[in-house]
Parts: sequence; C-alpha cells; structure tokens
Amino acid sequence: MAAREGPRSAATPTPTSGRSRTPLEFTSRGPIPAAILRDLLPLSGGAREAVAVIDHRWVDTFDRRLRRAGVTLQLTWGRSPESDRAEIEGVDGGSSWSVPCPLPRSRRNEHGWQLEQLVGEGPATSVLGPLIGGRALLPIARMRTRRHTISLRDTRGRALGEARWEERLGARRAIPRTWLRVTMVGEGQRLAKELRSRLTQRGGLQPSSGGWLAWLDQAGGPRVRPIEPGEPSAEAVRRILRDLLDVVSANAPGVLADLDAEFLHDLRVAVRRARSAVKLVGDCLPGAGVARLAVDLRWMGDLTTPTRDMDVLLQALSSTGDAAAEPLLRHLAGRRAQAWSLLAAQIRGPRWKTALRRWAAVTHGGGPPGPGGRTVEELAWERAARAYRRAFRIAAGLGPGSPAEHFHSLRKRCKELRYLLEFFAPALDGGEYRELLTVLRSLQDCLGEFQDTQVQESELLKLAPMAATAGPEVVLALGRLDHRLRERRELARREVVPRLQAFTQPKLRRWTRALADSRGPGC
Amino acid sequence: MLTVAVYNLKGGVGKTSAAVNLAFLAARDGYRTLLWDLDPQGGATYLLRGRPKVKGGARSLINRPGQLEQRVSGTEFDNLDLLPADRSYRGMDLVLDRTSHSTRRLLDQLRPLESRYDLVLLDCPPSSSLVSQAALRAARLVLVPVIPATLSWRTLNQVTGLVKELKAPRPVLLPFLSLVDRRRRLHRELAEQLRTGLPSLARAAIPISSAVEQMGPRRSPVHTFAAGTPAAVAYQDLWAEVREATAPGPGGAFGPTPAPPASASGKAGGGRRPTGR
Repeated sequence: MAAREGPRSAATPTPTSGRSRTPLEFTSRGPIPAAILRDLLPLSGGAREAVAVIDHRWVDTFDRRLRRAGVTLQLTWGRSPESDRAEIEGVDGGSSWSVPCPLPRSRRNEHGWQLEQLVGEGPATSVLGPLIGGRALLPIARMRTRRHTISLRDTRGRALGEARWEERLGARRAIPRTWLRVTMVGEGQRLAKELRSRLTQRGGLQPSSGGWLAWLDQAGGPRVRPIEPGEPSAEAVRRILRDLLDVVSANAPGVLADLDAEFLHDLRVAVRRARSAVKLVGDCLPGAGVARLAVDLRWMGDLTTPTRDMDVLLQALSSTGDAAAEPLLRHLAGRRAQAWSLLAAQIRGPRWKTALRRWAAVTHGGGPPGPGGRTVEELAWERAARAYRRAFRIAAGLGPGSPAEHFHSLRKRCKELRYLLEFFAPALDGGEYRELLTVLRSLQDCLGEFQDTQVQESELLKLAPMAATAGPEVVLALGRLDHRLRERRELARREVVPRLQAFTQPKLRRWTRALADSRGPGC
Repeated sequence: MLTVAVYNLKGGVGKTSAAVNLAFLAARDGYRTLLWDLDPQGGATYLLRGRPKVKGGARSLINRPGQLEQRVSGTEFDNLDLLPADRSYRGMDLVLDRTSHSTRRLLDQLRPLESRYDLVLLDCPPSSSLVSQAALRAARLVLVPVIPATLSWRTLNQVTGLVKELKAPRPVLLPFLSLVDRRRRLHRELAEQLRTGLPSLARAAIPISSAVEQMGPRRSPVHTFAAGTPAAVAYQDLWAEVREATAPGPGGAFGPTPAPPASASGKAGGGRRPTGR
C-alpha cells in the first residue's frame, strides 16, 4: 500500500504504563481493508467493532497558546450526545485525555467559544484554563471521518488495548486517506514492538505521529517566512507589513463578535506595529502609497483607543473585588458597549475596507526598491542604532521627578525600538541584542504602569459626577480606586531609576554605536 | 487529586461493583481516574479485563517509592487506569507492619500521582487490617456500602469507630444503601430506619439487579451494556453525590480553578497597554 512520510518523524513508542503510554500511529494513502487489520491485530475475545461518522474541530486561541504549550484540543462530534467529546493531547507529558463536550449543537457554527463551553467546568478547565488565560477558542481546522473502534483482547478476554482507524471523508488530496492509532495497555504493551513491525511490513502502513492535525498543518503550508539578514530590505518590509495585515484581518471578526478583549488588543498592537514599521523603515518602499498608509494606520489605531481604554479600566475596577464599585462597573460597561458599537460600525464600514485594500496594495506593490537597495542587515543595524539613540537622549535626562509627558515620550520611543528589534531579530541576534531586549522590556513594564495609571485616573475623573449621584458608597469606592492608582504610579516612579540606568549602560551604548559604524550605503 | 475508598468490613455488599461503576462514570465525565484494586480477590481487576499481576508484588509497591506509577495499567476506557490486584496483597498487612508509619504508607505512595489523576478510587478488601487503616488514612472520602440488614448496619458502626481512631485529618464517611430489594419488608423497614437515623446516608440506593450481576460475565461496567436500568441510574446518582460531597471549592480537587478574567490584561512590553497615543 502506497504511503508517504508523515509530517513529523515517527516517534518511537515508549511502552510505559498508564496515562503516559504512547500510541502507535500509522497513515495510509488509501483505505485500510478491515480484513488486513483483523489479520494483523490481536482480536480474540469477541470484541465488537463500533463505527461512527465523526466531525472533528481542532481549536486553539488566536495566538496559538495551546500549540505553544504542546497541547492539542480536538472536538469530536458524532450523532449521539455521548459521542460529543473534547480530546486533549499533550497534557502531563503527552498523555491523552477525553472529556464530554457540552456545547449544544445549535452553537457549533459560532466564530469561537469559551473553554468552559467546550470542556465543562470539570478538571480539564482547571488544567487548560491557565494555558489559555481567558482567551476564546477558535476553530483552526476541521475534518469529517468515519471512525472504527475495536477493543484488542487476548485469548482469555483480557484487555490488550484499542485500535481506532479513521477514514477521511471528502477530497483533500494532500492528506492521507486513513489514519490508524493503536493504543496498547497492560500486557498489550509487550506486543507493541511486534505489532508495529507487523503493521508496517505486512500491512504496508506508514508510521506517523501527530494525528490529522499535523497533516492539516502541512497541507496549509508554512505561514510565516522568517526574515533573512541578506535579503533586500524592501521585500522584508513588505513582508512585515503583510504579516501584520494578516493579524488585523484575522482579529477583526473576533472584535466584531466581541468574544474577548484580546482580539481588540491584538488588532490594536498589529496596527501600532505597522505604524512603527511605516515610520521607521517605510522609506525603503517605493510609491506614495506608504504616506497614505501612515494616515490610514493612525485612523485605525485611534478608532480602537476608546474601547481598549474602557477594557483596561473595567479590568482594573473588577480586579479590586469592591462590591461598592458595582454601579461604576455597570456604568463603565455601558460606556464600553457604546464605544464598541462605534468601533464595530467603522470596522464594517467602507473606510476600513478601503484602508485594508490600500494596505494590501503597499505590501504587494512592485516598482523599484528604495534608494540604495540595502539588505535587511544593513537597514536593521542603522535603524536600530538610530532608534536607540533617540530613546537614549530622553532616558538620560529623566529622573523620578520628571514630568509625565517625558515618560510618555520615552515610552513611545522604547516601543519603536522594541518593534524594530523584533522585526529584524535574525539580523541583530546576539548577546547584547538579548540583553537590550530584556532591559527594554523591564523599562517598558515600568513606563507602561506609569502611563496606565495616568490614563485610568483621568477616566476616573470623568466618572466623578456619576458617582456623586449614585451615593456616598460609590464615591468612597471611587476614592479607594484612585488611591490605589496613585500608589501604583508612585511605585512605578521609584522603580524607574534603576531600569533607566540599565537601559543607558555603556555596554549597550557601545553595541549600538558599533552597529551604526558598520552600516552600509545610505538607503 | 481526590482519593476515595470504597470500604466495608463485611464482604459481598457491593464494594467492587460500586468502585468499578463509579470509576467508569468519573472517567466518562472527564476525570482522570485510577482504580486501585487492593482486594487480593481481584474482582475489580477481572471486571476491567486486567491481569491480576503486579511485578514485584505488594512488597515492591509498599517499600519502593514511585512504584505505583510504574505498575499502573490502562483499561479499555478513556481516562480510566487500573492498578491491578495481585495475590501477594494477601500479605500486604505483613509488609506494612514491617514499615515505619505503616498507616501513612499508601498516602505517601499515592502522592507522586497527584498531577496525573483527578480521582483515585481504592477498592478495599473486606477486613479490619493495616491495609484498611492505611486506605482509610489515604482517603478524603470513604464510601461504605450498606445492605439493609442488621449485620451490615452493625459493621457500619464498626467502620465509623475505625475512622474515629484515625489521626486527623479524618476522611468523610458517605454510607450508601446497596443491594436493596424493595420486595422484602425487612429491607424496606431497615432502609427507612437508616434514612431517619443516619443523616449522612447517601440519597442514592443501589438496587439488587441482574444488570449488576451481568457485569461478571460481560466484564464491563453496567453503563456499557445496561445504561438505562435502575441500577445504572442509581450509580449515576451516587456519583453525583460523591461530586457534591467533595465540594467544588475553588482550587479543590473537583472544583474548577477560576479562569483568569477574559478582559484586557495589562502585560507590558508587547504593547499591552491601552495608551501610547
């Protein structure tokens, strides 16, 4: 039977017991005749074969938090409610785990779901919740299969394991037709090695691992191509903008569905990063479209600000657990809803679509490259050095008593520098690069805290008239919150000094100077 | 991880059937479950199609740390693992007697499994021995099947006495009626007396049922072949009460850990702030 290599190298099964057992997995380009399996698998003991058509959905957060933790969450929906399960793999050293999926049939076509809707309030929520961090789960892949399940037993009726094979229904030529998983338990684990060779040599099956999802991933192709230090800078900048446009497009439906606040956050950050890219390295792209894009990006960013500010303030207020603040929360939730409807209307509107079209045109635009036709490496060295210099000049003049506007200016410069460092990481990576990134993150934390409390305080001031009419308890709750914000801001002021010193240390200055000195011909 | 012992001094009261069915129901509901068949008769091992053999026997399990994990075997059911019985468990008392802190030994041996299982069910042998004491010490909840008969009632009092002799923290006792035959007047009367005289008695009562007897020849939990029968429903009710009794407090073994709020978190660095205009 013809078969091709699996998307990942086949894992050698480890015959350990209990939950950490590793199943044997195989694929085949064609169907596996049941007769072959009956011949090759230990099927004594009168075990019956169960057959069911299964709808599979693989879900993850938008930013693939489960994937990064090595976990897959697959929903399998059959005809009966008992067959609706959520199958979790990769938790606790790779073991598999199956829990009931309580999601009603009527809600299966929604854009995304909360974890509890998919796995209930049981132990799976306790384990996956911290990985997901409150984000919504979105479908990332889907498939329909016919699943055959059969128990493997020895001649005395004792359990040896289970074989499950699934035939893909529907046309997807890049993906194998059949996937077989044999899980041996107890005494059956001793047979695993022999069974593996029997199924590959006599059954003609191809060892595989990762299940359908690995194949679906491969069929989708690589999404992001990393930046190469030696490639032309114009092409790299276009790709950076293209990737950010993808992030914006992918998050917009989540913002419109208002599934969780992180969709808006991710969209907003992508817009801001694109603004920085246009500002700092946009001159490498030809055409007037870049100037227009800068205006569009500013408009898009400003659109998101009111809703995001409300999100953060709501979060701050609800985390206090102050019952007296309930009227404030309700009032803020109302204002947030208002801001969100304005935002949603704009995202659905023509200007948003035009802006995205213009953005796409810039990323696909041809024409001659910018003056000089520099490589990514040369551009990265020069611009990173320049961005550091600009931030350094502000940082060197700051102290705990400096005006808030100066902190805000430094914060913006630091963001630009950080984005640059992240865009061009392959061209800059090294000891000092990583140190600068660490120092920068720490400084940004502090500056962010300072700015957040500042913004939240001004928002609280707007709530004062409302609190006065709501009663003295609400006024006191507002006062308590304001006091906490002041404390946080003062702490941030105190903590900023050592972080500024770390950022302006001579070692990092020397490194950025060296970058500037080795820069190539002008862009 | 929650450890539940199914225990009664008296034999033939439905301990093993209860342990197997509850383990199956917990696993079906998504709880990573381990059933430890401590009874050398190996009833639970047989019903779950396991091999009644543990490498190294009781001595190795009790004396060598980390051995339980190595000896756990899977079953045909998702989320359900089995630590099978072994003939050497007949001498487990002697092995425990030779160890220090003998009654704490099972608790200590189970500790490494905490991250792997949400529920451990101990199917205890019908005796008053060191093994039973160690099992009671390891458990947070003890399920006591009680047949509505005078002798069975008497043994419930003895179990209560045994638990009282344990050092704190003592497990919670959840007695439940088992093998109830509603056709017999004595069963009906005693069941009624128990209900009024014993407030902690579970609401669920497992009826005497041929479906439960069928577990033997079919070697499978009752829900796999007779899901709608009164016995299957009664086990489901009992499982619901076990979940209730183990209190779904935040961070508890059965309680969901409160998820972080789904709103904007202010992680800094990656542009996680609302400002920056």
